[in-house]
This record gives sequence, structure tokens and C-alpha cells, in this order.
Amino acid sequence: MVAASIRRWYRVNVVDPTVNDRNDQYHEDLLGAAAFGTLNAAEAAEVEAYLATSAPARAALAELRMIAGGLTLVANEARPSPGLRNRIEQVVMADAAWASPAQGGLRPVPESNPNDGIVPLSTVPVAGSKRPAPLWRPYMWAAAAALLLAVVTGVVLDRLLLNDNDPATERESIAFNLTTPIPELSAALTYDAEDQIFILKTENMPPAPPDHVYQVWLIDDGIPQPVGVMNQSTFTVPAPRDAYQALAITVEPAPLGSAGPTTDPFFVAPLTGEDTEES
Amino acid sequence: MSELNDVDLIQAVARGDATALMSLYDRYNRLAFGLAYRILGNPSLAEEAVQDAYLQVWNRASSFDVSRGSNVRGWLMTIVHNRSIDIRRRDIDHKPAHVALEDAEHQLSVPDVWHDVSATLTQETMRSAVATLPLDQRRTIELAFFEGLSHGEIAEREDTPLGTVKGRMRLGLKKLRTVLIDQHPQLGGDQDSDGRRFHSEVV
Repeated sequence: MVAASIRRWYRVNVVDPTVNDRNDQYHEDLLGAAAFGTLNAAEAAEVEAYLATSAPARAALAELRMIAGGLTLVANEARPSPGLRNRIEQVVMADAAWASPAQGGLRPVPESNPNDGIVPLSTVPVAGSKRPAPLWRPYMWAAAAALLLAVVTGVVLDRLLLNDNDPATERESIAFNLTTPIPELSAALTYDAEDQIFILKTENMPPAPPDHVYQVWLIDDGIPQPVGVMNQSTFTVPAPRDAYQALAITVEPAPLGSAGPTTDPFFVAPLTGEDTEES
Repeated sequence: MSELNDVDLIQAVARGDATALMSLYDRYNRLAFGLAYRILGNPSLAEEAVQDAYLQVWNRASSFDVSRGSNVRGWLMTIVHNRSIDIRRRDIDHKPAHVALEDAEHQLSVPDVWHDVSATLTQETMRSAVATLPLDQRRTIELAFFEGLSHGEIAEREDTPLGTVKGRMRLGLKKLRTVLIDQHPQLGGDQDSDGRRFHSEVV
């Protein structure tokens, strides 16, 4: 009996008729741990080396990961606080707002509350496709222009100081004719052709209502593209000169504004201007 | 407004569409937060994990390969899981983080049918599958998946030999695979009820 058990132990642990099975189990265990992401550094290196030489192992790991992925569904659903959505939205909106407006990445404005959720496929820009129909209602544009703007006459600026503390910096610039809705408010909009930047300078801008900010938009075919929040008297936005038809400002919830305009424009400046003499 | 599917949304996110990301958030936030809360047991930490996960989706949407499958939900939830485990090990267990393998190359090995099936798995299906496991296998898998414990850590926690823990994990995963294949025969191919095809392929 003892001899038989010794022979059996010897057969299992020394002579290796089943060594392949044990190796299989060893690797199988490692792949299971890999699927759950519980490898330490040494194990990860061993698995990486093993996977590099075994296509079936790679397939096996991928299957295990699918199974592990299914385990994510086992937990009960739970509702997070509303603040979580707001925090995520603020970060991605700020990120999107400071992306290049000329690229096709900025999303158009949904018709209803931007927090409704899903943008229709027809309004998502697709390379090579026709531009979607403008979603900002035309009458808002016309009413804003009629109420707020006198486009034809105004003061043309031919020189702009970008920073009052710096020595005077003369730049080649394109100025835009505009007037402001409030007599004491003065505004100047220019385009720095060298740096390709729109520069809006204001004086005596009234403070935004409590918990609100001034949000700036560039209008492209009637579609407002968010380009940031105006926290200072000077606001700059890099953009190609001819890509947009107007710059607008609306009042939006603080601190980072909205996905789309929720109020009528406070200020609209058509982006047509006269070239100044080269300085 | 028309409803976009997950693939359309992730492609829009890859183009910088913030609204598309928020649509994905509205669609899966309860599932994501539920998973994170299950792992972390703390609502603040769970929200941190979900926030990090969605921002990771925002930054990495272009890396989701739609040609290999449509399981955006699975991809998102895996990110939530990984982030939750990282936070758990950092803030709760005070242990070093696990090491992740490179994903892309290995994912290319997955038969397309697994992508399609995983995208249609339901909570009911997975809960039923887990319920079929013997208690010790289920416990082992739950400790590994929901607490991020390695084989050795489970053995220590449960005061169980390491080999036993490995065996329970191995058998439990094999059992889950068998159950899922029984429900989705297109996954099966040639194999016996013990999933020996899976076993024999590991060489």
C-alpha cells in the first residue's frame, strides 16, 4: 500500500506523464488572473511572454476577458448624485470648447435642452457630408441683429494693444464694425492675421447675473460653436478668418456655460470687416 | 430625436462630440456607478471611479475598434472596473496596483461571435450563470473580480491553500464559460460539457 502510494506520488510529481496537463493548468491559472487584472509584475511579464508565442492562449485570454466583462453586469444598478453628471459635462465641454473650432469635432446644438441626451445622427458632422440644417432658429439671429447691432456705421480701429502693460505692440489686424447694446459699453473686435486669432476687447461690460457667465460663440452656417467663457475684458479665440460669419455672446449658467445657447444673444458681431493698413 | 446606438455614439465621441459622451453617460451611469459602488462600498469613491472612467472614454474613444465588435458597454464597464479596483487598492486596501497587460493585440484574437454575444449579455443571464457556481468557486471569483485580489491574496484571506484557490478560480471560469455557451450555442464549436476545448487550447 505504502509502496503503491509512493510510486503514485513519484509518477505525479517526478516522472511527468501529466506534466503537460500541469503546465496547462499553470498557464490557465495565469490567464484567469490576467482576465481579472490581478497579476503582479512578474506574472504579467510571464504571461506576456507566453501570449507572444501561443495564439490559442491569446484566444483563451480574450474569451476569459469577455466572461470577466460579463461579470460587470452582476452588480446592482445604482444612481449616482446629479453632481457627477455636471462634473463630467463641465470637463468635456471645456475640453471641446478649446478644441479648434475649424475642425469638425464640435457638436452642433440640439434643438431642446442640451441635457436631453442624444444628438440625432443627422446633426453629427460626417466627413464629406452636407452640413446639417442650422438648429439655431433664424429669427433669434435676426432679432438679435435688429435689437443689438448697427452694423453699417461704427468706429474702425486700425491698431490694437494686446496687453496694456506691455510696450505698444503693433500688429496687422482686421477690424470689425460694430456697436454695442449698452451705450456705456465699448467693444472692439479684431482679427490678428499673423496668429489667426480673433480678439474681443470690451470696456464697462456689465457683470453677468449671479451664477451666470458670458459665453462666447462663433457662428458657422447658423450653428453656434462654443469657444469659451468670457471672464475678463479681453477674450481671444484662435480660428481661421473666413470660417465663421459672426461672434455672439450669451448669458449662460456658471461656471463653464452650456452645451448650446440657452438665452438670446446679448451681443452679436458679424465677422465682416475692413482690412487696415499694414502696420 | 432619434436614438443613436452605442457605436454611433462612441464614434461621435471620438470626433470630440461632448453631447455624445453625455448620452453614453445617461445610458450607462447607473450600471457604471452600481459596479463601482459594489467594488468600493463608498459613494464618493465610486463617483470618482465613474468620472475617471468616462473621462478616459472621452480621451480614448478613438481607440475603440468598431471593426472588431460593437460592445461599447463592455468596454466602458471594463474601464469602470479597472479604475474601481485601482482606487480600492490605493485608498481602501493600501496595496500596490496590479499590472495590466497590453490590450489591443490580444483583443484581435477574439472570435467575432464572442464580441457580439458579450454585447447582448444581460444582467439576468450573468446573475443566473454565477448562481450556478458552487459557493466556493463563486466566492473566489467574486473576491478576484470585485475586490481585485490575486490568487495569493485570496488564499491568505480565506486561509485556503493557494492551489485550492487557483483550482476554484479555474473551475469557476470554466463553468461560467460552459453556461454561457449553453445559452449561446454559436460560441461552442467542438467541446464537451467540461469545456475541454478551452482546456486543451491552452498549450
